[in-house]
Amino acid sequence: MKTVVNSARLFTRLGIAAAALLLSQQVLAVGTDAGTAVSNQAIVAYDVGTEPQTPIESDPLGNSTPGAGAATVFLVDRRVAFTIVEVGGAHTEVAPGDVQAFTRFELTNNGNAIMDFDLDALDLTSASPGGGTVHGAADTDDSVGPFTIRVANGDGITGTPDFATDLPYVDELGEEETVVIYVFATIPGTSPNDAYDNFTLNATAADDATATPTPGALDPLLTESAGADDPTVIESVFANTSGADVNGNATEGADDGFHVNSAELVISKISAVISDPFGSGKALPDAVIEYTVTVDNTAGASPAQNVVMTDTLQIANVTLEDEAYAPGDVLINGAPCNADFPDSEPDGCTYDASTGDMTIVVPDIAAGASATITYRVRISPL
Amino acid sequence: MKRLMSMVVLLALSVTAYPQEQGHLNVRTVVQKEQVKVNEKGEAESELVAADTVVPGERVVYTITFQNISEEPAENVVITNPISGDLMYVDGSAFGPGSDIQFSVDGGLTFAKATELTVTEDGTTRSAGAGDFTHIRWVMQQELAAGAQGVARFSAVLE
Repeated sequence: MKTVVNSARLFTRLGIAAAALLLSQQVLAVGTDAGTAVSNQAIVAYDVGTEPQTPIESDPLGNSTPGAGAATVFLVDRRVAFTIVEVGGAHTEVAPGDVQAFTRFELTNNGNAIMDFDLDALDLTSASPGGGTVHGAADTDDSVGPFTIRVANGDGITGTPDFATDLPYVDELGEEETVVIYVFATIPGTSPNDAYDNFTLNATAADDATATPTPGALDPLLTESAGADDPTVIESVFANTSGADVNGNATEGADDGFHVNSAELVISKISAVISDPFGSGKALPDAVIEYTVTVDNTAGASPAQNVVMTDTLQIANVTLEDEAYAPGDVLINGAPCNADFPDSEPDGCTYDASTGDMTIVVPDIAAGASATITYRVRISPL
Repeated sequence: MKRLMSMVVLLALSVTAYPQEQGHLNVRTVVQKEQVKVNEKGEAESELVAADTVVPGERVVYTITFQNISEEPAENVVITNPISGDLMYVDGSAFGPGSDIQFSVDGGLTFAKATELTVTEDGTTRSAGAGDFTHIRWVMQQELAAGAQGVARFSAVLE
């Protein structure tokens, strides 16, 4: 029995756990780097008669001259494997007018070369396959966008987005490395409540011919090498889930979307007779009528802000009842407000008696809440 | 890569030392890739194809052929082949008609049958496995007659 301590071969056998302590983990985890020349050469020793001869080295084409052989070499090719996943598993909740709303993705390079990845965000529509459904919600709106792709600095997950540039590609992603990608969008002010605007973020593998990192530029998109070709060239074998796309490139996509939370207002206006000359409860000349306007945001998902209610009284027939809720002319959510014109007090109520135009600035109405504006008019006497 | 470079240097020196010497054997090493495909009967079949495209996890096959091109028989023919650090020998794949196949776990210093080798690590001794082998050696049991050809072969997985 022969016992030999061999630490050099130990690394490969112990696998990742031990190797991580001793060597660069990423190299072992995804295999030999693309572009590595793996060489092999046999040496044959022999005697003629009893005379030992000079050993002869092998050659790919055959060699019989001692010292003149050459190693049989092959070049390790590029195994193109990567994944892109959406982070969070849910739509990004946004409100109309949001700028720099963003979603997150993670791109991981599982291949044996440092590669670039071209990025492209494609808007899904209700006409897309499956209705453009993402996270269980079909696409209902295409107003969000344009999409801006940014690659995160650092881990990209904690805190506010941190990114270096607007580069729409990932530059030199190492083996077994993951990068966070943000997709930013501006949400139009007119986006309707409960709208879903979905999209797909596609990543396409790219690398230069020698699998050498060349930072600062997007490398050419890779195509899968087919057929017999040059063993001295680093070729690409697609090991990604989707294989080659219609352009022959390795592309993987992940879906995400924005869900718009807006206010959704329902306006109602009811009238009631407060008094009349005969106590009949009828809307007779000289009777006082109270209008109650309700602005209801019960169905909304966001507060309604900058709500302004306007009404134009028919001054030929009615006049606004002055000091109906002394010291105010109008009640907003029960608080009196002076409807003078022009507005001499910053209370948001104006009434122009010459035109009948009434303008009421309503405080913000929270999601699920409502605002009430009450005012009285007197029907012109006969 | 390092291994290749050091070999190139060695070769350059050797060539200078023995520029004209003609040996008795012609030695050739060819690398191919083992590809598994499903045949018409639905059975998995492996075939050897050119090693043009090799990615980690794939299996390559080295075939060493040696022919006696002299007029005299060659005695005590021994073929020694180091296993590249990027390759993992496939257990049981070494093949060589008429040869006693031996392995080394110490960088080619000593050789023995695969089953006789052990490795000690962290004070524990265990049987050597395919991943421990650094060299393979084929020891021909008979002479190689004038004009005769021999073959040695092994498989390895690219790590």
